[in-house]
Order: sequence, then structure tokens, then C-alpha cells
Amino acid sequence: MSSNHQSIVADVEAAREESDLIRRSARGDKEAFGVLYKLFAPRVYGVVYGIVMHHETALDITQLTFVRVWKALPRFKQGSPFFPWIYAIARNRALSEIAKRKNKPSVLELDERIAGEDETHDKHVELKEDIGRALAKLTPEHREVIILRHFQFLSYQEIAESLGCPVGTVMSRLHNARKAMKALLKGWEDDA
Amino acid sequence: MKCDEVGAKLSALLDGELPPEEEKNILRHVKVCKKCSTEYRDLKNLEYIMKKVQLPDLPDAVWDEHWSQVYNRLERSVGYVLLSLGFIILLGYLIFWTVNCWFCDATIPIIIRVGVGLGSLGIVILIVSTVREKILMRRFDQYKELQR
Repeated sequence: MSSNHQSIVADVEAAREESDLIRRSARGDKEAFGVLYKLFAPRVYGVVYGIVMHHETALDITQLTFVRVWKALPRFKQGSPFFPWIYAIARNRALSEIAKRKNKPSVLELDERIAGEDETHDKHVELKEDIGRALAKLTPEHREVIILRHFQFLSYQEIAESLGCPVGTVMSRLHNARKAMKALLKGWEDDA
Repeated sequence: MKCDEVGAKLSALLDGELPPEEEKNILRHVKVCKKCSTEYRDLKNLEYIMKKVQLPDLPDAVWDEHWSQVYNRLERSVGYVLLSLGFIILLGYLIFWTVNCWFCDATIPIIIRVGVGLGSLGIVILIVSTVREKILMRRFDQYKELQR
């Protein structure tokens, strides 16, 4: 069996398991909801943190989001993607939180993922900080769309569902956000 | 095809989000247009460097503790619903009993019945007004569901 086929089988299994957990949670099974929580809370936290740029606030919003998700689960349309649905619940609070904030952080904390072979650790750290600073300078809407695409790997359709807007809007917003990032990371792009 | 028509579709091309026919047309244009090919290369470079970082993650222990707070909150909400249902049933029975047995009892002087009736009505109005105020305040409290 090819590794590609194995990965497809694993994806199908995961999707089946996820939809079973959602169904059980919607019927009031808190144990199943706990598993869903552990699967999705870190992702929700990650994106919300990306928008509000404050760990405690992001944790608070994640907690509130899951209390709401529990109440709204019976209305969830089985078969549709789950993460965009949860994120749609979280985002209004995240955006209103960042709008209220007077002192916005100047850098978004990020973790390192992979370093290029020809890259020193110091250079990688510098790149991480520069990307964090560039992201912090974007508007929350641009930062949000960059995070959903680059860090959560959502499709345009899934992003559109999360934001409640047409796919065309996602396409142009993402393009504008990338152009802004490109301008902010000028030196690094030349190095790539 | 003109550069104006390409625009944001360069991002969609990079993400593999275009229909096959449109993808071919855009690629054909990118091959011959210096401006668009530079822009496309810049987008690719940006994607390359973005792959080197990720959003911060928290240790599992944080999520375990966090889940127990969410769980308590959910469990408590079931308790509130049951408590409210029980209270409503008892209140309904009390109202029924009062009207049937007490206000209709001709042996009690009418002045006492009227006095107690007005007093009870006053208490009901006060309770309703207070509850309504609390509900309105809750609606504007952003952190009402938060357990700290």
C-alpha cells in the first residue's frame, strides 16, 4: 500500500472519528466534547492569539467560545467543516477585543518550525521576530486571513465560511495582506 | 489577458485555488509578463519564509486544566436549568393554591385579602423588574460566561 493511500485512509478515519465525536457531543456526551475540545482548542487559541496578540485574553476567548460551541452544537450542520464553524463563533469576540485595546503589542510571538540548511539559528530567530513584527503591523483582518491560510492551512472556501464572506473577498483580502507582508519583509524576501 | 485581470488571482494560483482552465490562462500570462512573474515570485518567496514559523502552542497540562474549567461551567449550566424548572413548577403550584384556597375563601375578611393581594403583586413587580435589569446587564457584559 502506498504512503499516499495510507494517508488518505488515515484522513478518512480521522474525519469519521471527528464527525462521531460531534454527533455524540451534540447529544450531550461531555466525554466526547472533551476529546473535541482537546483537538480544537489549541487551534482556536492559536488563531485568536494571532488576532489579539495577548495570551491570557486568547485563553479567555477560547474558553468562552467552547461554552458557546457546546450550547450551539445541536444546530451544527453535520458534514460541514468543524473548525471554520467554531472559529466563526470565536472571531467576533477576538476582533472586538483587539478594537478595544489601546496599547497594541508591537510583535506577535511565534515559534520556529523548520530552519533552512544554510541558515544559522540566530538568523532563524531574527526571521521569526521580523515576521512577528510584520504580522503585528497588519490590520486585524489582514492578520486573520494570513493566519488562517498560512498557519491553519484552511482552503478559501473554509476561510469564507469562517469569515462569513464570499470566496472572492477572501482571495482579494489575502492578496492585499500578502502584499503588505511582502513590503514589511522586504529584506528577507530577497534572501529567500 | 491583462495584468489588471490577474491581480488577486496570483495568490489563488499560488494556493492552488483556481479552476484548471483559469490556472492555465494565468500561468500563460505569468510566463510572458515580467511584472506579474516578479509579483508571483515574491508571493512564492513569502510563502517559503512563512513556512519557517508557526503559531505558539501551549503544553498539554494547560489544556487539561482549561478543560476542567469548561467542564465545570457546562455541568453547572445543567444544574441551573434543573433548578429553574423546579422553581417554576413550585411557583406555579403556589399561585394556583393561593388563588384557589385563599383569595376565594369568603371566611377571610375582604380587606385582608385585598391587602395581601396588593402586597403580593408588589413583590412580583419588584422581582420581575430586578430580574429584567440583571438580564439586560448580562447582555452587555462581555465576560459573563467566563470562569476565572
